[in-house]
Amino acid sequence: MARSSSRGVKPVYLLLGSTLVLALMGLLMIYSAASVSDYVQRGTSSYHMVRQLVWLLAGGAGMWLASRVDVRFGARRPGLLRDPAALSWGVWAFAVAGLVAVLLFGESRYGAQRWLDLGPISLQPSEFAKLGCVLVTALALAQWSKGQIPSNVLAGRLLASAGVVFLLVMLQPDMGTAVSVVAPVYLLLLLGGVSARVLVALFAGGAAGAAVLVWVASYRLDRLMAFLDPWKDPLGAGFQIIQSLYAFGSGGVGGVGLGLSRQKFFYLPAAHTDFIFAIVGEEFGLIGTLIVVLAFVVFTYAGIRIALQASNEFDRLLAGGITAMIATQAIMNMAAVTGLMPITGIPLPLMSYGGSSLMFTLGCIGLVVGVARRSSREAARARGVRVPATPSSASGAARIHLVQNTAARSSRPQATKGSQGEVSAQRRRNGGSHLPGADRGVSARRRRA
Amino acid sequence: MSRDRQKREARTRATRGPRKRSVRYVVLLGLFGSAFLVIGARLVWLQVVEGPAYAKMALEQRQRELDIPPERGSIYDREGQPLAVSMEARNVYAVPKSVTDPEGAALALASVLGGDKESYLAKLTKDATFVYLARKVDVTRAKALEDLGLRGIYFQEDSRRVYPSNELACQVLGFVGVDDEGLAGIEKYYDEVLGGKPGKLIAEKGPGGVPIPGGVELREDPIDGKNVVLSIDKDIQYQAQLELQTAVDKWKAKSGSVIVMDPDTGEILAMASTPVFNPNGFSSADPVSFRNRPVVDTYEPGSTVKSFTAAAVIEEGLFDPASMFRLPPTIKVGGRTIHEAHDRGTVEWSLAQIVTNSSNIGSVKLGLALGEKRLYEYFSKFGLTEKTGVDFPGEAKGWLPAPEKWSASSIGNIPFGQGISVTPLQLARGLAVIANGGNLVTPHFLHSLPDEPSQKIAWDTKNVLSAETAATMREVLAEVVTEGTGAGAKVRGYTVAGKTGTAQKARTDGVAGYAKGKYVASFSGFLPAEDPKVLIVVTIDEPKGSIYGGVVAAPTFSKIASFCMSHLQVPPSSGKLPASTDGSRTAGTAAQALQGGDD
Repeated sequence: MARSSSRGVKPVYLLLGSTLVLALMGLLMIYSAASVSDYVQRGTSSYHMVRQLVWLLAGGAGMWLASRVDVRFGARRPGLLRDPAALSWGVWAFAVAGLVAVLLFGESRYGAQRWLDLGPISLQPSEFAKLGCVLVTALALAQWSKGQIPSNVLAGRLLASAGVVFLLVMLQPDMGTAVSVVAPVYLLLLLGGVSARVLVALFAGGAAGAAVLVWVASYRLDRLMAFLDPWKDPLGAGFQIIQSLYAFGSGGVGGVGLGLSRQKFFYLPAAHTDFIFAIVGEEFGLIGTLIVVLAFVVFTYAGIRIALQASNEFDRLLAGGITAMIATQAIMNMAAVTGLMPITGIPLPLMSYGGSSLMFTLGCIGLVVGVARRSSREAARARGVRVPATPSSASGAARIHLVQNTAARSSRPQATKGSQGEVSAQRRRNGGSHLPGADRGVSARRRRA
Repeated sequence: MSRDRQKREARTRATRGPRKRSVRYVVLLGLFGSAFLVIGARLVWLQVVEGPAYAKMALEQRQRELDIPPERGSIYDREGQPLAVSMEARNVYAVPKSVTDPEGAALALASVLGGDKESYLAKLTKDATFVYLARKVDVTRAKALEDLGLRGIYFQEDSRRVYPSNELACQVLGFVGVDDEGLAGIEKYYDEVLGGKPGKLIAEKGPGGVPIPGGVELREDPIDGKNVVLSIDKDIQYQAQLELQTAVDKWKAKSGSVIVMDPDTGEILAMASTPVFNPNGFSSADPVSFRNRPVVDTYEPGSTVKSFTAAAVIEEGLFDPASMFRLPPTIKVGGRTIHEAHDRGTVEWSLAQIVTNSSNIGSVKLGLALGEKRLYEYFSKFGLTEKTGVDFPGEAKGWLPAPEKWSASSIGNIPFGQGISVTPLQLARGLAVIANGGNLVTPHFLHSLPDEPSQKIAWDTKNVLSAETAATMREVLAEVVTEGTGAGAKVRGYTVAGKTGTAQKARTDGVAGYAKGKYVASFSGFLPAEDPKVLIVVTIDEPKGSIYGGVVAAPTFSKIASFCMSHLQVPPSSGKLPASTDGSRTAGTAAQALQGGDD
């Protein structure tokens, strides 16, 4: 891992870069996809786009805040804000309270009770439930791998935390979200080192459970049948997927051009939310859709890279779990709208319209950024460089000193080129990072040797 | 599980630690990578391989083909006066979902367009995406409504057929339906010429019919309809309708008809029927008034046909006008006794007198001399067995069976026009043979197509009678007016030739025989007799008070004919034929006609 970090861009930039690309593209597509119905129904074509922009800005602030949450796994007596247990169970409890509230006074849309109306915005507590489960699972796995808790306690905690959330979400009912809650938990078990035998058994059990759930609810079966043969009921169950396929097909390779989608003229339902990817496909063609897929690949790659560089087991699982959660959702959405799996009502992370989903996703990414921050801080500390606990308060002088120090020790070609190396260092400093990753990696390896 | 073992396990987990588990991260990355790869592959399949097929289906689902209506051609009379024109109009429609104030809108609609507020309200609150409120509203009213700015109410361009002279030539012109399609009359017959060809517009629309901007494509421009100029003369037409109506009112008749035709060419200068209707509001008119009677109605022509029988005898060289016949009071043919209309003793009459006095028995004698076959042959030559070929929809043919089907007594009534039926136009055409010197012409309305000057309009005409026989018959028929039953048809300064007709009407209740007291009185003639410019047939159906063509129909003929002469600036007769311009004598012959009458 150290070797790979010596080349190219730091993973956190890849993560932030792909996030920005997806969010901005989403904003553009929301404007395009919702403009017609907005104009017809509200008299202004930018209603949804403006709202999404507001949420994007708020989510950006939330991301920054989340990246500053300095969770310290293994610290003897961390403060409340730094205690991973307090954070994990806190988010989980908040989510569970929200889910209960939704069932009691929630707002029903599209046949499911998922939203909590809080005046200006409505929240989907199931989003927080996903994060809560990821946090609790990551913590439990980290403790388990450190030998702090035995396997049976681990199993008990996971069953309790994920089970409660799963049941509450299924009561809404929202099987798609329930799957997107369980999937990252399962993937965390894979990352956390649970034996292959257990993983296989769990997968088999989950599949059987899903089959049962499909059989007991007729609409799920309808959706499944519509997925298998949309043309059996082209104006009913198959309508959405057929219209989505029309959109992709109409786009071809180059797309029909920005704003020129025809399917958004009330043919494709939920064009600006769950089916935004289809509008990308129609307006920007294969080129556009592959850019989106590629952005998610970069995002996933960067998230996993950050996880692998994490300074402790909890951080590693946290970054891995959140990345898996977002990637799973992206895959579920894109697979559904391209007809590879049944439609489940999962939005495309970062792109679909929806404040709750967008702000939550950005907050989660903020947590991953926090993991990256801690790992680079730890790496610097491990090299013996004193780094202030909160980098934001670090003095400029100290940073320059740091850069010069490492540059002097570095054997990289740039450094020998003198002035060029200075410029490069300057640029990095302006970029707000503490250290060039390459220097850190190289020096760390040397020390080990 | 012992506590020790648990601890050992935990230690193993902790020490075996990171390296082993980082493999799992790579595995996860691989899983996601392959999932994204599958999606990428699916996208390539969907957008490149299957793409065009889906694109086509999507296009089919949103594309609608719309017709752009062409502008319908106008109809003019022979002097270029407009008889039917198309004017810009608006259709008013509503999208009920967008109507914010149905009550107010319904009130406004009722006050501007007329009609019932409740019916507008029902339309405005209908559960539909589109509903017509009014069609073909004139532009000024539509503008007034548009200025009110009612929400959810829209306007559509259309055209409206307007008949500027209202009832004038209404049955001839006919009318058009809401989609400008000709439904009757000339509008129907020349629909293809007048109607043009609609253009095509391809528009892309959303599921609710919402137009998609930029999705409109013109495929084909509409081809506007062509103008049609009719042989109708608006002034003669007006006069004909006026005089016909006067006569029908005077004699309290059921209906009546007039044909004014150029006997040389077959051009119809006027054609009138009663009752009339206004084609601008035909939907509220009695459909009976739509009948263009000279073309679509048949009747037993009666004595008018005697002129054809006489012409046949002369053409065959059997007799000449001066040939004398001894006529008993009655004659028995095929077991039936034939009477004259007015009983008389045995007389010696010339052939000309048989015609002028309209003798049934004389006509039967002529018919017997010809024989069934030749009589039929000549009636055929005069066009009584075929349609005239007039350019008008729904022409009737009349009834004249082939001689093989005649009964023994047929030869005793067909020569004077009973037991057969014809349309007034068939009769006019037959009489035109005598008027124009022997040619059977095709009566027609179409004068010219000004938009297609190169297109040659030709009408069938064939010679069926020698010019000499025709000339002889013109002289005989002139005597009908000067000395016989048609005295009422005289026109000052012109020699009129013609024949009266008073035919019984066949019963319509399914019983064979004639309806008691129901007659069709007619006068058919032309003038000036020496070189006829105008041929006129007047029929009055079921007159009350008098039944005789010479009394009921002849004066109407005279008035119309007189107008035609001055309107067409026909020079007065030279006096080669005995022209009676003396008023007292006219009255005298009229009185004589009343007494003598015809059949």
